[in-house]
Amino acid sequence: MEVNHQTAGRNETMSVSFLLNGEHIQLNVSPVARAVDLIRGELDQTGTKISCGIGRCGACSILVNEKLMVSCLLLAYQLDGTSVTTIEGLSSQDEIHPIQKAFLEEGGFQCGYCTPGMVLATKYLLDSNAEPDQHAIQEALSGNLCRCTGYGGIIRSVRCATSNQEGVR
Amino acid sequence: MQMQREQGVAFPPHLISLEQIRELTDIEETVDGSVRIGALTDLETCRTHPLVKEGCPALSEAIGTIASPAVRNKGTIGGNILYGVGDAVPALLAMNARLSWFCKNGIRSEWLLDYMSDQELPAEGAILTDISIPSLVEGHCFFRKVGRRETFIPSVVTVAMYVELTAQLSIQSIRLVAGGGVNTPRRLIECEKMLMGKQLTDELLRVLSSKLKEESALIGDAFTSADYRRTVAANLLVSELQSLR
Amino acid sequence: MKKNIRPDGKEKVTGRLKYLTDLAFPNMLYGKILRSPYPHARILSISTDKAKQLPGVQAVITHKDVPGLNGFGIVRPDQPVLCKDIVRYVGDAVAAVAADSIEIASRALELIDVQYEPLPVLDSPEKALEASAPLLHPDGNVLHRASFQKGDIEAEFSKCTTVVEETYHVPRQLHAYMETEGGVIVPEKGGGLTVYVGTQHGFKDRFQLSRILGVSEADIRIVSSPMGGSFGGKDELNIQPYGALLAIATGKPVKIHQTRQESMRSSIKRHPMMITMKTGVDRAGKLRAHQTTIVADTGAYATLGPAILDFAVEHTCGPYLIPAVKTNGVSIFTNNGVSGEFRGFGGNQITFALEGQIDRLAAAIGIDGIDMRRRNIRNEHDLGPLGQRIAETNGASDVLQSAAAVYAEKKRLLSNQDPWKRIGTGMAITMHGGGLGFGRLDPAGGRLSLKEDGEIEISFGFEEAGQGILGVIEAITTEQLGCAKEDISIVIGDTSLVPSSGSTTASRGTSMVWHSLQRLKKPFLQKLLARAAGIMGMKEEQLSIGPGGIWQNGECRLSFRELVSEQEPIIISTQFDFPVSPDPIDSAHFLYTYSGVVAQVEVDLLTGRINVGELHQSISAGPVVNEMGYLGQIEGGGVMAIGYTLMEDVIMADGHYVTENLDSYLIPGIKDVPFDLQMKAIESLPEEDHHGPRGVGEIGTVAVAPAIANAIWDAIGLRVSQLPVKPEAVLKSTKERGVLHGSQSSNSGAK
Ligand SMILES: Cc1cc2nc3c(=O)[nH]c(=O)nc-3n(C[C@H](O)[C@H](O)[C@H](O)COP(=O)(O)OP(=O)(O)OC[C@H]3O[C@@H](n4cnc5c(N)ncnc54)[C@H](O)[C@@H]3O)c2cc1C
Ligand code: FES
Ligand code: FES
Repeated sequence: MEVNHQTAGRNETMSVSFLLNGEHIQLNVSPVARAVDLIRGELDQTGTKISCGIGRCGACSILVNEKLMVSCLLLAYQLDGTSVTTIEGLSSQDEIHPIQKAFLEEGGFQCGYCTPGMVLATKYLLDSNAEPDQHAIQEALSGNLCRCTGYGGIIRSVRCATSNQEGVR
Repeated sequence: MQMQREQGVAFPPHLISLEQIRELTDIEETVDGSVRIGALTDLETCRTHPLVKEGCPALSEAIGTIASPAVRNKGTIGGNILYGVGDAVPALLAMNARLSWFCKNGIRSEWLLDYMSDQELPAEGAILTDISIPSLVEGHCFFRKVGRRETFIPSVVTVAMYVELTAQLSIQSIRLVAGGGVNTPRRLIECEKMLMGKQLTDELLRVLSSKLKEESALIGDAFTSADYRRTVAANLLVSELQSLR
Repeated sequence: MKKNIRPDGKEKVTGRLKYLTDLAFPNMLYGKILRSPYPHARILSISTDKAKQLPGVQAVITHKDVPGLNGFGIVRPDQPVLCKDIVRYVGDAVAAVAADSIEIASRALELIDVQYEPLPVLDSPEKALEASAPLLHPDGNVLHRASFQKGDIEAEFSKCTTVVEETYHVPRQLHAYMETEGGVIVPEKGGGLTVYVGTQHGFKDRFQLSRILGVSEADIRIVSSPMGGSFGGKDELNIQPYGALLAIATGKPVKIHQTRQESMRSSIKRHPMMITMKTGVDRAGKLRAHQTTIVADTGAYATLGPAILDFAVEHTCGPYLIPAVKTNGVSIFTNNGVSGEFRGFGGNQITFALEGQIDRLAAAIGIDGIDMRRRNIRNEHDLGPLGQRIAETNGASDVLQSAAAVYAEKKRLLSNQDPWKRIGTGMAITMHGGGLGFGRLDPAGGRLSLKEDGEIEISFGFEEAGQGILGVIEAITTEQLGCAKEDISIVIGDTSLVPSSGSTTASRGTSMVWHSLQRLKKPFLQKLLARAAGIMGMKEEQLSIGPGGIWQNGECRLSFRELVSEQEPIIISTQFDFPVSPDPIDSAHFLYTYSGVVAQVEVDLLTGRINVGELHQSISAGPVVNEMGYLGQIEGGGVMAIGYTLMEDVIMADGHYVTENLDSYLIPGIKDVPFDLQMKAIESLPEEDHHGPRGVGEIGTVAVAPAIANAIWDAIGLRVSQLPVKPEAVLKSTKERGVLHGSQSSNSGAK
């Protein structure tokens, strides 16, 4: 069999336009290009990570129209017309997001490779549930694997972020 | 489809995106009290929708065991059914769901049970438009999935059950389903027949247990044996029935 | 708890930190490596013509293109960079490609035509030892033998009233660092090469690469931090040689970032072992004789296989005093994936077996496991496991005592509502050596400078893989010098900028930083104060170092910047060796850490699944340098070990990987671990101890599996001898012994 999974249709392109962290993006992509490659490659937003490539680790998590998604299973064209938030979009140069602050202070990371995904999954959780209980936290982070922390620090961070957010409101 | 691609399967030459069709993504209660779910509703919306959560909690629970929130935000209920071994299917079979298809020559409708028996589209190019679940007020619904990890894991065993008991605790109506892994979820019709009208005695449950193992006919893989799967399926269904006494 | 925020933290939580696999350079090409489809085969021919003709392909290399030594390996270079005539496992590289895009490089790999003649596959140590087995290496299929003997084993066994014998099997574990191997190799303008690829020992990579490339070490610069995890897995070379050869061939930067499948196929794993132990006690419950054989599947190449076996042999008796010991270990070459360094370094395997023996013996003579351990535990002044003198601490008894208290408390609080569940509690202890051991080159060093801009720069040849070495360096340096964290800058992980500090392995980083500061501090402070005294016209004794600069009478009088203005920077370096035992026993360790683990499990009688509800670790490793870092190491290590115990297994069939990605190779997710992990640090050391804080990178992984196994026994009476524990085995055992049935009847009886 001719294996052409990555080169299929490589001569065709389609135009996509979307908001990336509030900034308007318009470009041509191959219809089979993955969103994660577009974001990390052409757009050089390398805060979005890649680890399994099959939706099994959450390292590549992004928010598409405020919803958590794994960008390794999204095609680039599927971003068309959406508003995308990556980890870079959460903080400005001088101010970090309360969730990021909580991860920083509670040791919610070690190598940091899962961290962008964890932070975004936490944001997705707290956006809809200001006071998550144990079950809600476990459920919300169930698609994000971390090999370093054993999740202890991450759980403490989410709890701390819950109170940080209250402070913000 | 993305998963196949990572495993090196070629993308089809043309992809048709159904994502923009609005009518296929809503959930509503119909006049006869059944719940109608648009086939392109994403799994997470489905799981959290009040009509599903309250009307069909076992379905909500089943969907909650699928992958992760991020995957459920993208994957659709229709896709999960057509995927053949989706974990929503056992719950839907237990609830006796119906499917509606949009075909070249009009709308076709069939029982999910019938679709699952051969998994053939009613016509070439048919598009699944909605899934409807009859009102289930009288009965007790149950779903359980077992994987090799607590969550975010393909199933090893899935079981589902719908049961109505009489005041004397004999079985008035029952649907039993088992699946998991590569095993297409199936109704266990012989076991159901055996139970109809009967009282749940220890003796009956003992017989049921071995019959469940036999009829489920689950097969194993490199990680878990057929025997394990069959035993677990039987254990889960029997213990649930036992708890109803 | 005092919260020391890690210096690299902000960049990590904001996603701004550039990992080496995130880097991009102008004109960068993408590399891909062609690996063998066979676990064992002869290469008949390699044709790269078609691949070379594919538009966008810039270079295709094979064994012919390796200018220096075509081999690598930390202990001995027996793994070909690019195979010439034989492939010995499915990760063996045969060719590599650099192209304008990943897609083109992948396509080019498909166009490389390699003809193989498959050879018999030795997919187990047993097969590899058969007389008819083909030899995988010139010296045969035995990589290494290690043994230890003391006392008269037969005589001691004859004094035993109870003897227990069991064979334990432990699996091949994947490091599963979230960042797979990769980075960019850049040819520099003036000649030379910069290698931006994670490793745990930059200078060692530089040495190995110079041998392969046939260039001098001075022409190679290794930038090795940060990394998205390593756990020992990136200590050996991985993609560096291919990136380097391709960069030289094309004159352009080459990026290689392995996909998870590629990583799974080529990376090293934890050694699977089969361990048989026969252990006896006398009437008083004293261990008398302990006989062990270890068979390790080391896979196709050596890497650190010999040292890992030595470590396992050393730790065979753990923290117990046993008069007669006989241990024989052998590490065997097979056509399975390569086994190598992994957090715990052979200790995890042997501890699972040893603690299993202790529990079995305790049950056999009718005493509880804690009592059994108390009767046999080493004391402060006892010799180490190989009869060597070790740094004296009371760690073993301390962790046992702590764990015993926790155990009693957990048992007391136990409650179970669910008739289909059984809860059990278990404990285990261990001791674990740090550093590389006697007779191994184990140099360390560091450098402290006051730079022109007034910054105090502290530099080490260590790498940051996530373990928090930066936080440790910051904490120790500021504490020892008395300055603020804003006054210092830390430089690590770049061979062009840092002194050699040895490897970032074997829990040695923290120890070595502390020891370095002990040596650097005095001369550095003296120079600073002498100069300050000169400038200020005061006596040195009147001055001290504080945040911002030189202090006198509770005030900062002179900034560090003013101290260097118009004067020479101050630089102090140190070189020394990791402390070893005064007794010259090969591979013996000197500094040990200790842990006592208590686990509580819930066994589902319907499915056989086990859930760890509680995990408590008591750790004795000297003073805590950075609380958050310490806790993180123990919790993270504990969860990695939960995975090892309950789900992780790189399954191979006929030399091929069955588990190819994180969908089938499972690591614990958030629901598989206790929501509240618990840890107690026992910081006390004897007053005369001058070795400071010990590293805690490994100790948290070592004694978790036996504690869980012990808890499973407590819950359902199943003795676990094989990891990971399969629900299937649990169900079988409960069925055979009627555990489930008992529950069913009691349940229905209650209603
Ligand atoms: C990481 C990961 C984990 C997963 N874990 C689980 C799990 O635990 N349990 C589980 O059950 N599933 C799991 N899945 C599978 C997932 O549920 C299915 O992939 C998903 O439900 C399919 O939905 P989709 O909308 O993405 O379908 P697609 O992949 O888009 O479609 C699947 C197939 O159905 C066809 N199709 C889709 N919708 C229609 C329609 N309306 N009419 C006609 N044809 C249609 C498509 O053409 C395609 O052939 C997992 C998937 C991933 C990626
Ligand atoms: S890389 Fe996308 S989920 Fe793992
Ligand atoms: S911090 Fe390393 S994987 Fe989570």
